[in-house]
Amino acid sequence: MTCPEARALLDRLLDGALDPVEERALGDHLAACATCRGRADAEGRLEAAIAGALSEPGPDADAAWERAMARLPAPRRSRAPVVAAAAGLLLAGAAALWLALPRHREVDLAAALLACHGDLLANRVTLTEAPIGEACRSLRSRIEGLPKLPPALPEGFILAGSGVCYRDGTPIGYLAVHRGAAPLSVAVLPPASRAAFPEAWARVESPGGLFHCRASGLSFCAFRADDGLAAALGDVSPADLEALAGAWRR
Amino acid sequence: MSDLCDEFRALCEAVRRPLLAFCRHAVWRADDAEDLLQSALLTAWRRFGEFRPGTNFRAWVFRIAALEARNVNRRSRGAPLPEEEPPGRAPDVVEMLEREWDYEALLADPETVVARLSGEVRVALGTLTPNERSVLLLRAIGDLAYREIGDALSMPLGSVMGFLSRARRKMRERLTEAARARGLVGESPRGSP
Ligand SMILES: [Zn+2]
Repeated sequence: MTCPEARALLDRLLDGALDPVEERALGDHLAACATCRGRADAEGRLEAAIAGALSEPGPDADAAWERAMARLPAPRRSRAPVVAAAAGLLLAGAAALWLALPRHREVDLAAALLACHGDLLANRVTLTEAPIGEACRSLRSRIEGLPKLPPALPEGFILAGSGVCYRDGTPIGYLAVHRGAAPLSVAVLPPASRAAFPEAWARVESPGGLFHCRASGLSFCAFRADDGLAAALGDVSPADLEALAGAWRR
Repeated sequence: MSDLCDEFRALCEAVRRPLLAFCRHAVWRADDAEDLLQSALLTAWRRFGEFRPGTNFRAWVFRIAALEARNVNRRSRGAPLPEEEPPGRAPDVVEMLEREWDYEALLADPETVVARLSGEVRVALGTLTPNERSVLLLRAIGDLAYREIGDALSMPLGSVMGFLSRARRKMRERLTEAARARGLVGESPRGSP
């Protein structure tokens, strides 16, 4: 390696972006060439000095930060808190129950939703609190072909939060819903999910378009939602889940 | 919901200084810095549900800030921006610097020279094209890896390297000129011919 070749690689050396072959070749050159070694050191210091100068937030920056933070929409008091934060004791109990439930081979989508539900109870999911219309827009902008959410949930069901969760690389529109004190997990899937969840799709292809089962001691219900699929899971009665499904099937 | 809010605030707090600095320098009109900060934080908060815990929040939030910077700069077009040049191959610093001796003199004590030219750093930034500027800021302030910069700006890795390399060359040239103009670096250390 010549000195100009070595110098052309110095930036990427500083950025930790050399491939192993380049790194070895440059390392050999720097070991043998004090001039390039000095240049590498000095340019590293120069870039650090420039980065340091650029990293000054400037006068009044902290006041601007406080103003910007204060302008973030505040949590709405009238809304139910997100499930995971709802009632620590209740959830601690629910999580313990969930962990203790027996596991056996579940319908594919029930297994996926059980995993999401476990994450919810263990406080491992980050959800956005927003009205259902906004949740609908947000989820549909992130998952292609996702069926619409209903304009409102049935009486007695409260949307606590929404987000996207991934199971084996398949994005699932995810809603955390309250039914009284019971947390429910709801999944909404686009037509393209047929390949990932063939069993659930086959079950809802029946005349009623609705499929019930028990999954690890919880009620599970899958149903058609427009040209997609939705499912709900929770420690509630099958009738409750059917009432929730009614919002999509109206 | 305060849990989520607290989590968001805590994550933001950890990148407060670099994010403030990015907003300060990523806008083409200094007046727009606060506007950018507010849009970036608001968008990040609205889209926080997309952030996957355990992944790199810094890269995630800087990506949003970079997108918002484009919007803010587009809305607020003051002076015409320097025109974009194709990324091309990485230039050779040794060939490109006209005043190699002065540059070497600057390299003898880069911290002192840059400290005395801190105003010139901002001026030098103004000579970069929008892409060069974004890439440089995401690297220098955001500490993003090339791949993260490519994701943030939707550009291939080769372009990231090209823009970054040219941005650095321009910054070095500009600072070398300024250092020479202020007498911070002298004549050729090896004497005039
Ligand atoms: Zn050398």
